[in-house]
Amino acid sequence: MTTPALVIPPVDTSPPTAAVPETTNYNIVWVEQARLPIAKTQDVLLARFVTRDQATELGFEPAVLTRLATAISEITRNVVQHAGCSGIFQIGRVSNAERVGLRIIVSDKGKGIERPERFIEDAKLGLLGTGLPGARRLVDHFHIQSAPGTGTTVTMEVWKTEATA
Amino acid sequence: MHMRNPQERDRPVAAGRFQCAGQSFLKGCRRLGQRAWRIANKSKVRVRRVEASSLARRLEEEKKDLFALVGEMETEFLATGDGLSHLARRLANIQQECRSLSDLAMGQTQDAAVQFAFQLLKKAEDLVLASYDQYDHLFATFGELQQRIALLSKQHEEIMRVLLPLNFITMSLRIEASRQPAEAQAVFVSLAIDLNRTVNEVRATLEQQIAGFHAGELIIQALVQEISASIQRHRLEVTTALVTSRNHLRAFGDALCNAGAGATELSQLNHAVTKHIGGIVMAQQCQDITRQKIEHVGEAMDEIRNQLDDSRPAAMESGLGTRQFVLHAGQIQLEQVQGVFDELNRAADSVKAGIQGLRSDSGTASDAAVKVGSTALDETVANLCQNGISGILAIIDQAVLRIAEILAAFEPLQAAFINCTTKATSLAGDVRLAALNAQVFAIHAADGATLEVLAGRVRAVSDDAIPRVGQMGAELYQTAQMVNNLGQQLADFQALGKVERDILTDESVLSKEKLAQLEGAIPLMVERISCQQVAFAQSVDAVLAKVQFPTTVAETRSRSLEFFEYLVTWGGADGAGLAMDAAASGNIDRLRANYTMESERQAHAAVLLTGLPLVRAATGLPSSNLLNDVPSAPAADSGAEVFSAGESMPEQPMSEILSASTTIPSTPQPTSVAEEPAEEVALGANVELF
Repeated sequence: MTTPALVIPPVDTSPPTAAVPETTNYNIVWVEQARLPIAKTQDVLLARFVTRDQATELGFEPAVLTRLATAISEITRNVVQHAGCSGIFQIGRVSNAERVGLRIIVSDKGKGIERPERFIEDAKLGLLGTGLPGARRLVDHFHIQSAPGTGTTVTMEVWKTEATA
Repeated sequence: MHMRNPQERDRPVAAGRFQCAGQSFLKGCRRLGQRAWRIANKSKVRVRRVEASSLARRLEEEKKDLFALVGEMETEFLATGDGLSHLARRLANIQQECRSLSDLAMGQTQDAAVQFAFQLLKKAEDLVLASYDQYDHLFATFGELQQRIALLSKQHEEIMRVLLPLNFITMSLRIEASRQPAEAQAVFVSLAIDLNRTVNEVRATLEQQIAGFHAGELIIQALVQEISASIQRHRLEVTTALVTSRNHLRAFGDALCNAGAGATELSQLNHAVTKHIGGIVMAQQCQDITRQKIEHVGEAMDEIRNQLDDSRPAAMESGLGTRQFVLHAGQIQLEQVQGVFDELNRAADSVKAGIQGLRSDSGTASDAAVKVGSTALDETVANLCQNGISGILAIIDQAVLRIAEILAAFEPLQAAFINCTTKATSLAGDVRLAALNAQVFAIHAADGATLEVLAGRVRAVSDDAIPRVGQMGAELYQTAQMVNNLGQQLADFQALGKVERDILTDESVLSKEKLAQLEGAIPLMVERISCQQVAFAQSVDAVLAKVQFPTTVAETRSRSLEFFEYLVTWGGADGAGLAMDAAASGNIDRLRANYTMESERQAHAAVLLTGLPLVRAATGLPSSNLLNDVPSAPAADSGAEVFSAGESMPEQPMSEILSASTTIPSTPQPTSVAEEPAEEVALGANVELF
């Protein structure tokens, strides 16, 4: 894939403030140049472009790239359309003794949502493959933390398995 | 103790003789009576022997009938078991198909077609919306550019106004120079010519640049107007395409959901059908324990017959021991046979209920399958959705091309701004230099007071013009920067748009393939399930027609119980309630011992082992597998082992005994839509093991 010369606007490079659940014991290296503000639709495109770029470098299969880019689109689009303020997109490379993967955090300090798990639990909401349930089933690990007035943080992980190697 | 009266001692001897005669008469009578009794007794024994012989024959016949019943039950079980096993396998296949259909239709897979298409639409919409953002930014920038060009025009006019006096000043310089010596005259004329040339050059250049700005502005304005109009059209087209594609996908998704829901409903109905099959198999399993009990009853009947066949005269003469034995043994057997038939009746009721449920539910499932089969799927949806996505991608293409056009239009303008900025800066320097030169020459001239004044005026014009030119230069620089930023941003978006468009184009091809596969696969699966379910319902009727078990049990029950009741009645005649002799009592205890749990378990294991070849023949499974599936008897100290030998077995339904002794480990089943791990369902699913 040809990488166009994109000008990434400067953003706040302070470390993520949202609590990140530790699911496994692994190392993480944040890609600082890939920290993006999420404020408008073009940022959604940029976020998925950056994600594809990172995933391609790690050697993920095209199908996984598509799934991942789709999940990123769903989550960042939620920020643009519903958060009521801009958010931050961060991506990091994770690794442990056996495998490597990507961790993506999309956070905002916007309206937030009450009982976010209901969006995950209700299978009917994801029947059309969109929104949080749609994003959840496209990644290996999905975690959402949100409360009204405090914003939302979505953490996603994909791991490179033998099949995708 | 009775005492004799003394007066009676003196009675006459005659009376004694009469008494002797009477006594001999009585003896004779007694002998006669004894003979008559012997004759009657012989007749009675003969009658008893006839009765016993008849009873023994009936015992033999009844035993044969009971074993015939067991044999018929076993034969029927093998025959129907084979049929039910076949049905269970077919049902398992249908269930598997239902699960696959449900998963496929409900989009349970990660890359489900409809979801993939929906996500693709949203991603394409992102790109379109981002391009609109770019256009909005372009329009905003263009509005600002127009304002800036207007300002530049104004600044240009101001500069021209400021420079205008230089024409008169240079003319005055020439006139004044003509009064000077030839050397000075040449210098000032040359100075005047330079000033004139500079001013003319500045005027021409700035006018040309400003005219260029206006021309560029007009071109861009025309482009912006065109883009603005086309964007309105595109917004409408994209909105329509998105709405249409989503509607198609929704309709398709709804049809798929209906098919999936139908498959789920069918699966649930088939779950009930499996349960019925399991129930029938479970109920028919009673033949296993029935054989065991009938074996014991048969042994007891042999024992009774042996007693009846016993030709010992003493035994037959009194007849009491035989009747007592027959009475007690008959009561035990009656009780056992009643128990057996009660269980068989319950089993028959279960089989009848199972058959009724199986017929009813398989019929309902068949109807449901036909309903699922009639699920309408729009076969053109893949093309329609593809067209919608293609339309959106075409708009994205146009957007990317338009941005390229805009970039091309802005490029000369951007160059013009930069060029103009350079010229303006150079102009300011030239005017200032001319003013300085004029002042220097005027000082050195012999009579240069007038020249000095004129040079001062040139300097004043220069001082007035230079900041104005500087302001204009700054404005030009900012405008150039603004245009440059816009160009950079548009170029970035163009690059991103191209990458996204290429990816989305590939994904749209994939999406079309997925939708087309789904369109092709779902109707085929639905049709296959529908046909299988209808054929299954027909097979159910054929298999159930073979089940005669409830009728056979009902017929045999009344006859058999009637016989054992007669047996008890016969044994109870004359000798009922009397204590048994030791031998008869021992025999009865031995018979009772047959009905202990331990004895039943051993007999059951023996039946299973001897029955294996038959089952193997019916199922085609190797006997080793079946043996492995038969659980070992519980340990002696287990909670179930609470009855000692000789203690009669309490009433225990056969189903409980069966469930305790013939639990077949179920094979792992795929997750069904409605999980109900009932024993009968597992039994129905594993019916081939029987």
